[in-house]
Amino acid sequence: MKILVLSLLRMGDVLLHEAALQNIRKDNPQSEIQVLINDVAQKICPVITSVDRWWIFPRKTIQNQIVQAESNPNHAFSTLSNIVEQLNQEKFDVVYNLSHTKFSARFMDLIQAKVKKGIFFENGQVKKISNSWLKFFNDYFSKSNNSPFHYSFMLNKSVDLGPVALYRDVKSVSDKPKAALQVLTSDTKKNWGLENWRNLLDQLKKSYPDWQWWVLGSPQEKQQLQVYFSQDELQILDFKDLSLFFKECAYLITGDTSVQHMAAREGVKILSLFLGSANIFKTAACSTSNLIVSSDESCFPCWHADPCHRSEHFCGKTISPQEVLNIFSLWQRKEQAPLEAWITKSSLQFHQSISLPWQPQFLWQLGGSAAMKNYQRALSQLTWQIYLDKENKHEVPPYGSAAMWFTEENIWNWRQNQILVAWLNRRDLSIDKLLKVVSDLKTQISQAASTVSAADFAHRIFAYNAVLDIEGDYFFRFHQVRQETAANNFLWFNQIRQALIESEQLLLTEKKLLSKIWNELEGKGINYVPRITKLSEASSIEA
Amino acid sequence: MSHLQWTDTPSGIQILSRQDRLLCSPRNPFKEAEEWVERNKNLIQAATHLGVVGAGSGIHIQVLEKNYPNKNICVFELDPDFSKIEKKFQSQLIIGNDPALIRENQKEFFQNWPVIIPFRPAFQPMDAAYVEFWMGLAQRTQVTTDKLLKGSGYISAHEEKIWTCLRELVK
Repeated sequence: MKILVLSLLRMGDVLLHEAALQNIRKDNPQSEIQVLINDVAQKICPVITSVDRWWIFPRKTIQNQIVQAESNPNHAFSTLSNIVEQLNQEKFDVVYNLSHTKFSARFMDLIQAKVKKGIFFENGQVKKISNSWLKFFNDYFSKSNNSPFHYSFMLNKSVDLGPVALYRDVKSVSDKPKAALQVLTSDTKKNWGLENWRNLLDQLKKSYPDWQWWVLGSPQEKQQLQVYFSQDELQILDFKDLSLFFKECAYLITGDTSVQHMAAREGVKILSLFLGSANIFKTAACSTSNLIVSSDESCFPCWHADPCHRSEHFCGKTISPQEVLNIFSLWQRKEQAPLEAWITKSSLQFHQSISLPWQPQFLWQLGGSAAMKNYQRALSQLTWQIYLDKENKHEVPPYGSAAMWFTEENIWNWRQNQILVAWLNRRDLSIDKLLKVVSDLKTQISQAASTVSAADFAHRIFAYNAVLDIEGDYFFRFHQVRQETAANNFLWFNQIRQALIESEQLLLTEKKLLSKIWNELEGKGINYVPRITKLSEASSIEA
Repeated sequence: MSHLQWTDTPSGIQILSRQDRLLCSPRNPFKEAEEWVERNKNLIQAATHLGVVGAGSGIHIQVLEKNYPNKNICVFELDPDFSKIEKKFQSQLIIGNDPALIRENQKEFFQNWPVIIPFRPAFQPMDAAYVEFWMGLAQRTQVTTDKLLKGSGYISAHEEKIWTCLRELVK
């Protein structure tokens, strides 16, 4: 069987697609896998080995042929036609679109194949999305700065692939390890500033004089880096050499860039500074030893396509080199308690990768005050997973196994964790309240749909916003529709009704999951006390 | 009688004028030519075949030929009076005012998708006519623009799909 994969994004995204390629290989061990990537990402080819043939899409060349007045746009037509013809000569059986862009969806319309996965057009019309994960990915991921799931996980599910398993055992560290700094990213908004990195390097060298410290850069970045770093501090490497470098590297301190994904592949421990449009939940490196530092600024993360709208780069300014040094020192010495104590006093946010039974990588926010946020995220994630899997496969959802996963002792130490148990109690009450809100809204919609305009109704339900805004996750589609200008009253009311039905389904899913969780907890001797917001003598009542 | 006149510059180099408008820099035409080649370096290096619109005094063509001896260069001129004056460069000179006819007659050259680079000083004082001529040679016509930007004028569904893809690439 011949399989084509469209991976028409940037280098870091192609690296994140490796998990999907490995899954495709696992599902089709005898097949020939060919991958189409952009010209700007072709340096990645020697690094990813699960591919039988690479095709390079001359994106930059074609774009120039279209936009440059000196070029003939028909040349672009000819170039694209030739590529399509060559690909179709391969007679692919299956095509996966991992790119999820309008261009790639249109491109899929040109490729002949028996089976197509991912988003695509067919004879000029967008093909109806049957995979619920793909629909979720399409509706939610690109339009929201929050995400219950990591990009890799959602992408795999959206093209009917198995779970992501891109983990390496983190290598052991010698006494005099090699460590590196990746000081530049592809986007100025995500850059911390070369002065800061210079300052940090000086402090790291003083604190760790026996370590080998290197500043990484590509050949194109060399000139820029030489202003701040000397020749003997720099490692100017292309991608293939970078992969070899990381095999012997123990630590990396980096911005959000493809280099962190390279490092993760080789088991490097990574401290990432996420600034600007870098999104922790979407694109953190898939690593089991990963600490992410980010700003607490309200504008973080910003949209990728937009420039920074503030007078200064505040998200970067709030992180000082001294702080990064302190964090690094505590983290690399695995001094969890001092790290947690330090984090509690810091104005920054910290996330660490942990592995959960239903998610290979969950980003756990450190700091005592973040505990409930973490529990809610974990519960929401599990709820979404059950809901989307059920919609996708129409199978009986695994509430029982999900509850077992959630109540595994070693995750949150249930027996000692009174905060969690109390929170679960409150969550039950919150769900009931939200279900009532949804019911009220549905009634109002039925009454108003034929008499009131969409704009007036959107104003009328303003009073509910305070409640619903907290529940951003389950009500994201509702908020999206509410904020859109209605082209058609009937259509708008229909869309908002559908959005509420989905929210209701999610709330009911979580409610059912909670009840199963309580069953599991009772089995472990932790009692649920209905309608009471704290555990009283429940544990002493138990016989 | 030709409207093109040779003029001596203070540096001793002869340059052309048309209706009293000089077709290149009088002070330092070679420096102007070098800068023009440098500005268009990326385009020139990426292509095997180069079309230059505007023969001018020919100095820019000489510099282009010297810097890129392996490129296939063709010069396109709108002004018929260029047939009456001495050509100061080695590349082929095509004189005409119908881009479609020129493209047809020079099929072998155009099938290599040349970049068509203007030398704007040589357009004086007929800038609008030369620009239209240049756009015609590069096939940046209303028909192509409609296909790329407006989504109209297609002759087949396949053609429509390709142009739609291209439109997405530049959005």
